[in-house]
Amino acid sequence: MDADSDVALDILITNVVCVFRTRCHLNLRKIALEGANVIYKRDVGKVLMKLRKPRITATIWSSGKVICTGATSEEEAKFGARRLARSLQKLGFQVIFTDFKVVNVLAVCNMPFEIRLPEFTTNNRPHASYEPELHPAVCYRIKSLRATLQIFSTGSITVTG
Amino acid sequence: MAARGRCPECGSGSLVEDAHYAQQQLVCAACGCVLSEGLLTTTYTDEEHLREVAYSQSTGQKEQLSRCLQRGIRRVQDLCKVLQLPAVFEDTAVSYFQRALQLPAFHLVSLEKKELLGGCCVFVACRQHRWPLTMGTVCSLLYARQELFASVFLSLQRELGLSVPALSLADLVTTHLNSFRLVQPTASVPAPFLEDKEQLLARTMAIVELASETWLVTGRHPVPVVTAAAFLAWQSLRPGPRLCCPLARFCRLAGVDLPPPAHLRLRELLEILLGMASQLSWLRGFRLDKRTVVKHIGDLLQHRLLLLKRAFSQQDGQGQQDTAPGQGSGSQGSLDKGSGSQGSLDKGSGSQGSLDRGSGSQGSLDRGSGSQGSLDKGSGSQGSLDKGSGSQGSLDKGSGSQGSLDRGSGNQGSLDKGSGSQGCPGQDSGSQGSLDKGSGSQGCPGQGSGSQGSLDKESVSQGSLDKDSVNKDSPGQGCPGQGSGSQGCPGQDSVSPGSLDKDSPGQGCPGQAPPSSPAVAQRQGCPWAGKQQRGGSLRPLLPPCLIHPRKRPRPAAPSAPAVALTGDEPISDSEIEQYLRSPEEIRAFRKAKAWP
Repeated sequence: MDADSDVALDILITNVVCVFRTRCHLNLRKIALEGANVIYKRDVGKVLMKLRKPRITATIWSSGKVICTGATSEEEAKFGARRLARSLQKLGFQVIFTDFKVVNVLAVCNMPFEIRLPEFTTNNRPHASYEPELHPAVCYRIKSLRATLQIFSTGSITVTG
Repeated sequence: MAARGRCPECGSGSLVEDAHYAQQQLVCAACGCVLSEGLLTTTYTDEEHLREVAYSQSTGQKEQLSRCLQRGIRRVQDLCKVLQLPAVFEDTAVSYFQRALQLPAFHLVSLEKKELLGGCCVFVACRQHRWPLTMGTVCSLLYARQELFASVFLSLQRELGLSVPALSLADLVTTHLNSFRLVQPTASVPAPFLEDKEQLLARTMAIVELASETWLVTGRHPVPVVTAAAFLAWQSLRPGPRLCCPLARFCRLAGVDLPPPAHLRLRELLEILLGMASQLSWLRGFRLDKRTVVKHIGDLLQHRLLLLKRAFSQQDGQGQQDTAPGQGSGSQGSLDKGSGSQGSLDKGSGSQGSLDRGSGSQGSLDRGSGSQGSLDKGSGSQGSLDKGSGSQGSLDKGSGSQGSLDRGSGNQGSLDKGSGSQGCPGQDSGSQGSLDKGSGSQGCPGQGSGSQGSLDKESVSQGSLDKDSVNKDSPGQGCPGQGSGSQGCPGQDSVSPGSLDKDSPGQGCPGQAPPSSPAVAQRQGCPWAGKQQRGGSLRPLLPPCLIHPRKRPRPAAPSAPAVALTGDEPISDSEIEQYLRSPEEIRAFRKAKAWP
């Protein structure tokens, strides 16, 4: 394997999950009534709000904690979160955008070759775990980066963490 | 010794205070007379000082196993008995269970999870001792959900830091087949459906190995693959009465569950087998479909290494070679390279050697090398290499004798035959399959010549057998037709042909060296032959999900935004308006009383 491969591997970020707090109690009923593009899940006590411009789905709890998923970059995630906070402000709540934190980034990558999973697992014993009865991919954990890679036999790799 | 007076009986002064069953007594050491006794029982108030330490904190608690642990250990032992595991497994599993239950991750979980924990420990013990136990079996014994079992298993692996080796497919096949009830005649199993266990096992193993070589096993659940392989093996051992029996019925007869993915695995296996069958020379004329190919599974498995190489283009060169029948010489050259690449089969290279021999003789002697020498030698060119295939019966290929010839030797892949062993003109059998395989042309006696450039260009046509492949596979093959002085072993075909050709279509092309003429000859040789070879829709050997990609295309990667987003851009009110309902909407909603 050359150190600098001729073919550049595309790694595509498909999802960024972030959280922030509004530091105020939110009335979910009011949000569900007056907000557009919302789904009120009464049984679990949360409201799902979907934004269009940065394609984001936000889960809002009455405690003021909000989780945003669906962004394709960290900046986009922050922008979407701020938009959401602004919408909540417009609805009448005293929202303060605080404690913004990116929790998880999911990326997908494709290798131009197939991978023999059983041999790969035996060569990477402590980090790799392969259970064909449970999941078709090898789960490779990198503790130092706190990342998990799912490696498929087709060469497709999903990185989370 | 307490100095408290003297014993009334013996008068000795050695008095001892002894606690006999928690009762204090003053006893004479000499005669054993009891002078005085303490109280046997104490009152609650007397025991104040004994209640300083609670029982749960005392060491007594630790020595005794908790009820939960006892129950769990008993469950683990019962599970081992039901599965008839050796005692070692039981001890290992119990020790894992005890260790796990002390960890906070497992001590405070629900009872359901604790039950599954016992099953997981047994499962891990089996895996570590290479005993093929599947998760499905354990889950069904514990009446557990697979997802819950999976999560408990993964957390157990993580917490205890266990290394669980992978399930061995070979052992799984053996164990799974043992549960098939097709050995003894019963009321529900008719006689034609009974099968000998050893044969079934051997064939199933071969099919499973084939599946694992062709990317059908990686990433998939192993049990459906084994079930599908067993079904195909059973059908192929006696195709007559069994071809009409579907997979579901087979599972019912055998008394095993039919896993849903088994149908898909069966389809994939048949696809692979059909691809391989298209390369078998004696089957080339037939239109095989997924039913009829079952009859030939035995042959396909026997020659599977070669057939796989031929049927599934692993190198670009091969595919191209095949496609260019006319290339003959060119291809041959390439073939040689191809063969060279193959390494082994490179008979080509070997053949080249042989050619050299042949070169002296060119044509003839190459038999050893695969007969190419024979006709081609005449040309002194390549021809010989292909001989291997050439032997196909020299001319008869068409007649399908090739198959027989080649078979005879059963050399299949032995390409090495080319290395000169073939020598024998009549060898036919040696190469059998090999020639036919892929090379298609191998046998073409006539072709050999064509390719070889040797005399036979014309003969090539006769060779026809060689069908375009001539160039490819066995440039020189067999040219039995060569007649030209080829050694006279027109029949040799068999010798090397198969072997040579198989591996490297090009291998046969020792003759390739000599350029040109052979090429021409070959081209004429079998233009259709090549096509026929191709007809089997050669596809690359890849995991099936790459060959049949998902129907819904993944959203394309978004192009890099023109302006890099910082996340802190100002947000205008107008953008926010779209996320709020207008007052009319709200009123309408309220009116409709959407919710209480």
